[in-house]
Amino acid sequence: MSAAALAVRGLSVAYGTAVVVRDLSFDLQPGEVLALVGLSGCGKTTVLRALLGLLPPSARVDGRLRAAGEDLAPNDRTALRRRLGHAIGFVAQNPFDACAPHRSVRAHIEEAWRALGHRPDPARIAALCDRLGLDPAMLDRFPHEWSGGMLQRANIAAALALDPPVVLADEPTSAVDADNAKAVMACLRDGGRSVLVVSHDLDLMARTANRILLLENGRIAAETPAGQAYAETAPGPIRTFARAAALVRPPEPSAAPPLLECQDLVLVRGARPLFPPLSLRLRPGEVLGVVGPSGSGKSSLLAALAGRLPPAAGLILRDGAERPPRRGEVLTLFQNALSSMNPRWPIERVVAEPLTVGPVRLARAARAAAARAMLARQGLAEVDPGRRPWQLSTGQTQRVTLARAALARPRLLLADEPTSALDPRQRCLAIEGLARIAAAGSAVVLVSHDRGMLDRVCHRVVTLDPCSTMRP
Amino acid sequence: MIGLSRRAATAPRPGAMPPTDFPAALLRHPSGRWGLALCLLLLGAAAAGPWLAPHPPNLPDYAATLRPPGPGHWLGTDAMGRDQLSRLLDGARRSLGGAAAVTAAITLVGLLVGSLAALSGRWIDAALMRLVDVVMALPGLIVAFGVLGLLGPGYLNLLIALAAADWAYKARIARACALEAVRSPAAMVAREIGVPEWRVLAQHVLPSVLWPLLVLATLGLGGQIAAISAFSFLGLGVQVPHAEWGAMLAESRFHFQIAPWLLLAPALCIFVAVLASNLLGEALRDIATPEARS
Amino acid sequence: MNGSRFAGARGWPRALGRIGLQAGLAALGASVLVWAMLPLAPGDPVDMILAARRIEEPTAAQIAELRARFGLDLPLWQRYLHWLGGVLRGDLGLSWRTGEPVAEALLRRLPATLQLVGLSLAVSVVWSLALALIAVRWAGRWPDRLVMAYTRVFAAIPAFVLALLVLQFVVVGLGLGRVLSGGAGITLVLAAVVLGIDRAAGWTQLLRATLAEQMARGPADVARARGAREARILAVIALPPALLPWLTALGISVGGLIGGAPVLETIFTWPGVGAYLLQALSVRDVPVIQAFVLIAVLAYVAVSSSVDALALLIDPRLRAPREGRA
Repeated sequence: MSAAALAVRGLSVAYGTAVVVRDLSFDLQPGEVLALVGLSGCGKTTVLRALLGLLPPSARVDGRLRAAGEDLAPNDRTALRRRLGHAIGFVAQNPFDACAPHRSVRAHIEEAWRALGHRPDPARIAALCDRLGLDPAMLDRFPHEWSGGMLQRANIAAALALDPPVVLADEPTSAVDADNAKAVMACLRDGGRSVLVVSHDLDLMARTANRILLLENGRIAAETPAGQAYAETAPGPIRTFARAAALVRPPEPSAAPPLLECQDLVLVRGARPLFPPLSLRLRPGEVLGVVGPSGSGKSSLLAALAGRLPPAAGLILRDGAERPPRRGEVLTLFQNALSSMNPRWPIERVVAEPLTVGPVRLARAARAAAARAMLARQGLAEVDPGRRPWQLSTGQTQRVTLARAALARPRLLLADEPTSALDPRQRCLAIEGLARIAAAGSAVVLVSHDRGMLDRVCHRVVTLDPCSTMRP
Repeated sequence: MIGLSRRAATAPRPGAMPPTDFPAALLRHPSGRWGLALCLLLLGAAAAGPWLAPHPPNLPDYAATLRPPGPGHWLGTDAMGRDQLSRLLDGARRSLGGAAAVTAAITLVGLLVGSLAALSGRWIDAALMRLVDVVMALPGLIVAFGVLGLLGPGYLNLLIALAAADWAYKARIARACALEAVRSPAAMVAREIGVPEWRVLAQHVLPSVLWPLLVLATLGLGGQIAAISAFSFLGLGVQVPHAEWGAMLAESRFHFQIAPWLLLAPALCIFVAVLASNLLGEALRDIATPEARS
Repeated sequence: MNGSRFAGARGWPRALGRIGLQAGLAALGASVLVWAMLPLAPGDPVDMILAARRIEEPTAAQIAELRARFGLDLPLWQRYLHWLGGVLRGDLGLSWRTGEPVAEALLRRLPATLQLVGLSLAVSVVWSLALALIAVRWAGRWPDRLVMAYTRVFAAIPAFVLALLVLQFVVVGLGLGRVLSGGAGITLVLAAVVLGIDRAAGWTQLLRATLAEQMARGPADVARARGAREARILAVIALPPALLPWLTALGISVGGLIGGAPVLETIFTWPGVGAYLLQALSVRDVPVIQAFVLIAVLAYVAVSSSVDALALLIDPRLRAPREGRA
């Protein structure tokens, strides 16, 4: 224990009678990158916040902690923070949420010194900018003028300002794209520091960490060297975790004639075309991925395909004819599933809404029964169908909208980043739901910034950027 | 006026809605319990006033002026020997009833103008909202002064002036809620599914507008009670000999030193009435915010 | 994050110009409504003023002179311009009660009212800021509960009722009545404190709520993790963004302060516009009321615009050209 940079013994966190973290013990070795991996709600973020003294007073914290050569009790939050401010660096999840919007990024970095009453060290800031690839001229600008990836690097600079031996990072890559994620991880471990990183991305951690701890229900379920996370010899729970997050690809589409065809489609924002003329065809049962950086016109493309946005040039043909979509032909799946449901309705009624239209009028009981069956097929059989949407978890809400989509049976399903707010397990379940809808004959357009996921799930992927390319 | 929304913290969010167990949730909320109890008490007293009052409210008795509270006159008498309890009960009908009437009127006007603006085309929307902008650039109390100056003093004129002062804010909130609901993903999905537009409006849009307006109306009730009594205190609202809490304060202003009960009782009535509606409004706002509950 | 989006120096003039333009439009729109009081008012202004001047059998020349002065023979829209021109030259019309120019009478009394409004604004700004900071610094503990109880109670007492109570129990009850009649300064301070403290209740609630929200957000947590003291986080991280809604509410409430001043002036017998205005209201002396409304609206627009300019200073995002996040 004496050699560890950070040693945790018997850490428990409880809110009232609900125990979130149970009797957790682990060591962070000097120079090691240790990943705490788990699904939403497994307690991994709570562990991090407990170590930083950031839990609300209503949380009961027990256990011991040894860092910077001192034994500390994590239940005295204020004392803990004062002692650890210079010994532990902290990198928050969302860089825009970590920076006060009214202060320049330089002020944000300097806060590392000022928080402890020290004078900022301009030479150290310049050195950090150099090492982390930050443009010093940008420092005097405000967070909203920065990109997410660069701002996260500035956050890391702030965390490293006092040269702490230990850095704690809470999902540091979840708000940045894949290329930046690797760079962020490289910045974090720069200089042989000990890093404790919380993440749900087993894939990234297997490539960038030294050791992985899998957390389930507030306990350590398994431990593995990072390199062997996907090996046959990996412990059972890790293999299950990896498998549970594995994505299924829907069956190949039929050879039916395309139900949607775009010919040299051009969309504009203001007077600027969003992407070069785009041509594509969609057959029933086909899943088409659309990937591109933010602002590349992904949402505008979906609006055009839904018939809400007229194209500036080119054609959108439905069944070979240029016509607006018919009622019930197109359905959109939103990133924020909650916003697409009437908050006053029980989820049963939300799911049954497609059955209230159409030539045959179903009785209320029949609609409810159909909705329940569909909810059960999405793995929501245990959820009370009388609950309101906002009483569900994020993953559950997305599956409720998938159940609704399955009842609506649209010919074209437009999914706008439906999985970006979900953890790996929930993402996998949502993709399964999408695949079932595709297998039933709907064409699906799946928009995401996660290229890796699209490659695994979609039959074809379109990249939207100024030099657009079609990949087979 | 510019930038941030007006009365940011007091305004209910557009997503505000009643919880599934509405009456029980209101009773669970501590302010809700007290606010509801006090409101019912006051409304009951106002409604039953004519039967509860021991004396005719406007009947002077010059043989019994400025009597302290005691048997016969439970809250004493004023300078003209009128029974204070009877006048308080009679005044409650004007103070509370007037506030309720003004609130109902502006809520209805706000709902109509706001929904019309949100649902009609660009030009009607733009014209209505410019009007709302201009009215909102005038502070409410000042508008009331202006309208009252045009119409002259009087109870009905006061109610009209107060309604003219406050409808624009309600209209803006109603429009914002309706716009958000009309453009919400929930409404978009319903349209894509093929739900007819009238049903989208009835099921997804209207409830999103009604509930925030109800919360807003309750929160504004206290201000209307205070305004009616303040204007009546100045002699611009309820006219003699009729009783109203603020007017009663004005009538007995110069007898406070020898008859402090004439000050305390109406002041307490105004305080309790405003407090009750504030508490009830706060509770409705709290339980209507889903994030605060889940 | 490309350099061309940088709004630092370029944003200021444009944002300030936008505020000035909006203020000008608001004042112009409001002036139309305020002007409309005159044509809407019952009665012919010329008759009113001649009656006020006790001229029972006016000559045609007297009538013609007044008609020309008010532009009564012009079409409606030209009458507005005629009126606006007069206002810009400082002519606020003639009182229907006395026949005297309104501007003189009003300006004589205005400084006293402005003193009262300004002082009560200062009182409530300091008072609500202090109370909200205390409440959030010791959130959930007794200072917080005390502040919340205070705001609940005072939000439910209208200013004029509070003024009456204060007058009765502090001044009359403690025998300080002579002091009050003796010194104008003490009357002013007492009236301003009553009006300010009454107004402060709502602002305290608002600022406490937004401060508490800011203290629970990411930037505050990051500062905590760096070891910053709560007092520093409150002052440096949480306060500036929390000030924005509070400042806006403040700007709006200035209208309430101006509207509330006449009532308090009556109770404390402070020689502001209050008595003059009430007299005008009771006899429907429309030009006087109109002038008061106009001055109040202009003051309100000026304060709102200053608040908006202050918000620019606090939040750099408001200075950026409006085209979404870079």
